[in-house]
Amino acid sequence: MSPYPSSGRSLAFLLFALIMTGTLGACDTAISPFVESDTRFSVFGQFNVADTRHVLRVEDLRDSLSSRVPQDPKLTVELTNTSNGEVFSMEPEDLVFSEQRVVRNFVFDGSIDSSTVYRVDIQSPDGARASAEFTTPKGLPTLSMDSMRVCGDTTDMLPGTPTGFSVEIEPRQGDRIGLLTPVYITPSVVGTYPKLNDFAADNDIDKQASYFVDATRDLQGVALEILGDAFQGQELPPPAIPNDVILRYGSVGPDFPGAEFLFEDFESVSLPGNYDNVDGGLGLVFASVTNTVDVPYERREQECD
Amino acid sequence: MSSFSPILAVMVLLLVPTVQAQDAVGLRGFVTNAETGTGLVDANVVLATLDGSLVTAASTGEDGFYRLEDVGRGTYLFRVSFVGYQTYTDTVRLETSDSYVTKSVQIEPSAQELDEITVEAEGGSAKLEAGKQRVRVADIERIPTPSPTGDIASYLQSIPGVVSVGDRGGQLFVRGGTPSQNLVLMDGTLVYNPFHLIGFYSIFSEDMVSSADFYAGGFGAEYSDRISSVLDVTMRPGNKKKFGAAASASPFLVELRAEGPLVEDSFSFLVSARQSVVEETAPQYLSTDVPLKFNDFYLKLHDSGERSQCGVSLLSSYDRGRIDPRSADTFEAENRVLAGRCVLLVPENSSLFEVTSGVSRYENSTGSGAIRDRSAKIFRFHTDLSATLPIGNTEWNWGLAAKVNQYSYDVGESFGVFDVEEDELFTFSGFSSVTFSPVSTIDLTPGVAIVWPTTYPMSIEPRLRGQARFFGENGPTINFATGLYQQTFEGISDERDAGSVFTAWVPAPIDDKRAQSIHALLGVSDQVLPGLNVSVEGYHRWISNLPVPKWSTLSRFTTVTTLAEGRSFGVDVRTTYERGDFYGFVGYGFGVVEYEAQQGDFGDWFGGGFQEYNPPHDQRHRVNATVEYDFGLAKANIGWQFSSGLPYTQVYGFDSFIDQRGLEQDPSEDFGSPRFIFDRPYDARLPVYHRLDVSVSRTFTLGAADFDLQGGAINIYDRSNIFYFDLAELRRVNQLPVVPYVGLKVEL
Repeated sequence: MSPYPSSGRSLAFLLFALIMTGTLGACDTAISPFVESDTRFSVFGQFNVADTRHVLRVEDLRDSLSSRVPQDPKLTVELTNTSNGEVFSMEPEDLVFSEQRVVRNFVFDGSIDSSTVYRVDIQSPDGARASAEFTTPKGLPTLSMDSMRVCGDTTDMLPGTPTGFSVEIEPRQGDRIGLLTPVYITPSVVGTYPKLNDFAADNDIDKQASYFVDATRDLQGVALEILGDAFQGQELPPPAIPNDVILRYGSVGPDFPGAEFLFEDFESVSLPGNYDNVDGGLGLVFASVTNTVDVPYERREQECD
Repeated sequence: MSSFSPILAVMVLLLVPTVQAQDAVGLRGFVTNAETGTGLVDANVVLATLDGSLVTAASTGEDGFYRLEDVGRGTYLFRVSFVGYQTYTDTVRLETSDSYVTKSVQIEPSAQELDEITVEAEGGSAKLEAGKQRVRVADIERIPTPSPTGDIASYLQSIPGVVSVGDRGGQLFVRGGTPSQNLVLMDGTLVYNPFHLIGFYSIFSEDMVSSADFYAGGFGAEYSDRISSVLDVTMRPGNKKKFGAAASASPFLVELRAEGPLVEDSFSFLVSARQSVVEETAPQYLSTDVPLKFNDFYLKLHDSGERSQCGVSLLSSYDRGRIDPRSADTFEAENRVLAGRCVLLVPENSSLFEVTSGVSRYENSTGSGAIRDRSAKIFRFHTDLSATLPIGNTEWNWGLAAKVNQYSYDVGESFGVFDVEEDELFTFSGFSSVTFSPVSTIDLTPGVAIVWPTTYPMSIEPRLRGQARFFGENGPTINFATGLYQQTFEGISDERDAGSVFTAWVPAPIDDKRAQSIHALLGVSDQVLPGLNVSVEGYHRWISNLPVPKWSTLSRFTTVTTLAEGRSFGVDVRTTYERGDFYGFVGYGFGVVEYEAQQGDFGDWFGGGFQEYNPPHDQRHRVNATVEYDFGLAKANIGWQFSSGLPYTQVYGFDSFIDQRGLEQDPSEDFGSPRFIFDRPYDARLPVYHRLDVSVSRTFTLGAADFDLQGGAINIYDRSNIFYFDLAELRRVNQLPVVPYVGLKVEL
């Protein structure tokens, strides 16, 4: 018998090989990058009782990361006052940063009540849902502060006399301190001091916070410094003689995370699940009330007392 | 100072004069190919009485060196035989007053067909001895490669226990280890990355390699500072008899080679240059972009004498390309290696001395266009002295080495804990091992490696290799090995980003803890039928202090490293059948790789700071098959690979995180920070991978030229094998589609 296959067997072998080739090559190799999950939306926003325009960022988690152009224009986003059942529609508004970086916000133009529970509901045409409930704060915190002074010949390059001011802030019962940021304004620079979350380690944001701002003058000009151990090693604003100093401050509702939120590093704060209050999604939705006041500011040609 | 005592002891023992019985003589020398001058490994050397009775025998080792000890003075028949070569026979008179007689011989290649006996001597890819496999040129030739010349990179990917994550990148994982844990030596000098970006190729082309020892684990004390595997390649010297040249071309690669004697019979050169061309040819003939390019240049000068074999090798290689053709990031890498190696016999001393010294430099960077986001360099100079000394039936190996590493890197934010640094590290090391047979059926090689990187504590690493033949010389051989391994320099890369092979070499990046592994191997190999060889080997590794990325959700693909503990275990089964013109190999590998790492707050998302996961090279099942049949008119080769899917990480999705601390970011103004919402690391599996490659080659002669015409196809059934999934772009990156090719090699 010939050791070689007959032509018929050769043809059969060839046919078999072709079928196998087609079959093996066409095997399903699809994969899904997404976990099967009900967690569908990312929702971030704050509703400021002092404002009449409220903005909510809503993203479908399955939109591409590199091309963040919203894929679904038909999301329904509603704001509900749970105490009286009143429902407000939030309208889409695209925020364009570049061709490939577009985010979709949902906007409600109108006032919201203080000390009230609201809920936002998000629904897509395919039935996916998410919601978040939040309570608006009772009102602005109580604020007390000294005046701020820069003494001596401010055009002189010699060191002058230190001066400063202190601030105390006290939220209303049930509210939390959410904001306390001095802003200094010079003819060319608008800058901020470290915010409350940068230094308020010894403060209880549910009750009271305080700090002290000091101004010293050196050969480079007048530097505004904030005193206290918590500032050791921090980079301070550039030396400048401010024309004005204002203070932004405010309260947040009880849904706002506790003090630990303010002191976490960014990597931890941004971890999903750590500080979220959205059912069926991720993100943080809360309410605030904020205000801005001028810091009493005095420039004296003569030395301070 | 007391910690130097083992090294000092070795040096003192070196001075002890060799003891031969008063009337005994030692016979030694090199066996080389008479046509090329290449040392022949595993040739049989026999000394017999004039009436033909066996006196003693040995087989040649590295460089074709043999040694016969304790032979009585007299006249003997001296015979050297080797597969595919004419047997050399001579008469030797051992009557001198010297303790050692040196006799080096050259044997002529034979045109005789291989018979069954020669086949049995080979064993092919199934010949596995406690993780060690000798890779021969014939093994490399059998793997279909899209060019007329085979490559050791393609061969390694065809054996169990070796995992490649794709056909690009040149990253090989051996039994759970990572690419930077593989020790690759070229003539005794380290090569940081011998594998080209195009995964079929390395700097070790079939035409340039003499032989290679590949240890998938359990390597002996002579190798140190790596914790996974060893590829010890001996490059061949140029032809010492006549000049020759070769040129080959295929759609992937063009090659040129020249060699010849500078001083006939003793001093030769070999020079080779290769340039990939697939980047230029692929758009036309594959209708796809393959934006990968490499070239390499190799030069070897070699001198052989009665008592020495010395060579100097110079290697330069360059790689550039984009693993993902649609990505803007380009990877670049350069290797420079200068390696010198001498094997010496000293009169009146039975030791075989080996001196190696060399320089290795590796530089890689990645970035878009001329802007390099990350770059890293490492430079190493080393000098090693080692010797093999017979003491009766025991063979003692020892060695001393000194090396200095200089390294620098600029990795921006990519690796978190280290950004920009340059420094140097001196390391002194030594080893000692003894091979002996406590009983006739067992061979043991216990040893110890001592490594002292000067800014780290000295490590003492015991090793043991052995084999037992309880069922006689022709029965099954039981092989075993165990040992402790430490590694100072680790290659740090972002394992989450399969599209990047950038590596920064750094010494123990966290808390000065050196990566460590303990290996345990146990296997059996046997020739169960004539031509049919089988080996089965199980292994277990315990790994500690392994720097791995610490996960975060931020989309910049930055990592902070953390130390992982882990283990890998599995079993490799290999079978070869070799008879007449047929060669067949089937291998199956089962393996598990597990890491446990502190992932801090990121782990909280999954319920705990410590995360157990299977890293992306945890390939559970792998089947390889290779068939070669010589029809006479032509030779056909078929290679098939099948492997279960590799792990990858799924996501819940992506968003732009708004930092609302201090009411800082406002959705009405700020974009936010792009964020991945990951599932548990590597908790899903890619689809299975399989690929069939075929080639047909024919050699013929026209005039003074030999031609090798080869045609074939890689991935002949055009399987859409996934390489990786780019999460940021939400698209898959596939491996190569069907790649038909024709190649021609001409040799003068």
